[in-house]
Amino acid sequence: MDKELVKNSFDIDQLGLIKQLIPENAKILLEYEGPFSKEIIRLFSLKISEFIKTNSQVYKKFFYVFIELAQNVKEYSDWRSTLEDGKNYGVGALIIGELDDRFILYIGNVVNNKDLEVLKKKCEIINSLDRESLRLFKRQQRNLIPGTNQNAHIGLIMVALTTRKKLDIDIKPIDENHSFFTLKISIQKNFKQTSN
Amino acid sequence: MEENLENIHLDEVRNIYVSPRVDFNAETGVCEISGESFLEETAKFYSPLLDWLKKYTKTGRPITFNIKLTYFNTSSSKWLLKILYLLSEYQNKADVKINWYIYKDDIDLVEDIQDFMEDVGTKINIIFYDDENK
Repeated sequence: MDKELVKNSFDIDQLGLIKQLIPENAKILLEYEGPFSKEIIRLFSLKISEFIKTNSQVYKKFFYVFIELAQNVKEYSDWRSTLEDGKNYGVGALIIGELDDRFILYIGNVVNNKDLEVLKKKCEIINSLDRESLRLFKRQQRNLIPGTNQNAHIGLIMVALTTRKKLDIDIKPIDENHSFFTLKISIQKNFKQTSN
Repeated sequence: MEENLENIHLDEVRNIYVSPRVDFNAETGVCEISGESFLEETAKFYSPLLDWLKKYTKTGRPITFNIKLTYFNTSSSKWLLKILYLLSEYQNKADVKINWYIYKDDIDLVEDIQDFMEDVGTKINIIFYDDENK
């Protein structure tokens, strides 16, 4: 991958872009913008266990989705930043919030418009599938050789499966070549166990 | 030509990432992975385990494989799948038991295990437990 060569940086207010999408009555538990380093991802994943204490299933779902999406920002954001460890991390922003009936995770990053089309298409495909087809799609992706860049896609499939909802996305153009891509995740608090 | 296989014991390591606890016993054939598998370099962690299992499956002796993972990331799941494929093949030669222990309300994981079974064509026993060891 030639990601190391990419030194994109953008003069935009990422948190502002996400904030305008948040429901007004949401209580914000955590907001962040910056590089998605390993330390940050781990730190926030620990925070989640403080936010969601009452229902272990809701916690697991939220944790799982957070990790998948935070890693996607780290790997695939077009805005890159090199930290003290010499490694190159994706820059993005997120807001974790709470409403009466659900927890929300809004997470976004800069995407090159070339990649945006692929990403949009992928979300459309995922949203067009029923649960059984989505499970089959996951199996196909998981059977691909580890290390291929399919991981981002399987991540999105896992998110749709875990939340049991369609992927809800928002796209805002930044300049002629870039857009800001936000995924709006919500996980119900009273998640009912469905036995089959 | 039977090789002497050393047992594998790895403690859980909680750093930025979390690697699971591993106990592979060459004498008893009981092999266990437990805890969390939240890794970045999954190949580095899992390929020695897969190699060990490949050697073990040359012995023809029975194996009981216990998975007690409360969390595994997507790239870890690809390696779990590789292990399950190997064990599935080994079933033609030896007695193989695969047990997956899960917390009682983790329905997403139940579904995922069913999908693993579908892929490898092997029965995985799902064993529910009640108290959460978080």
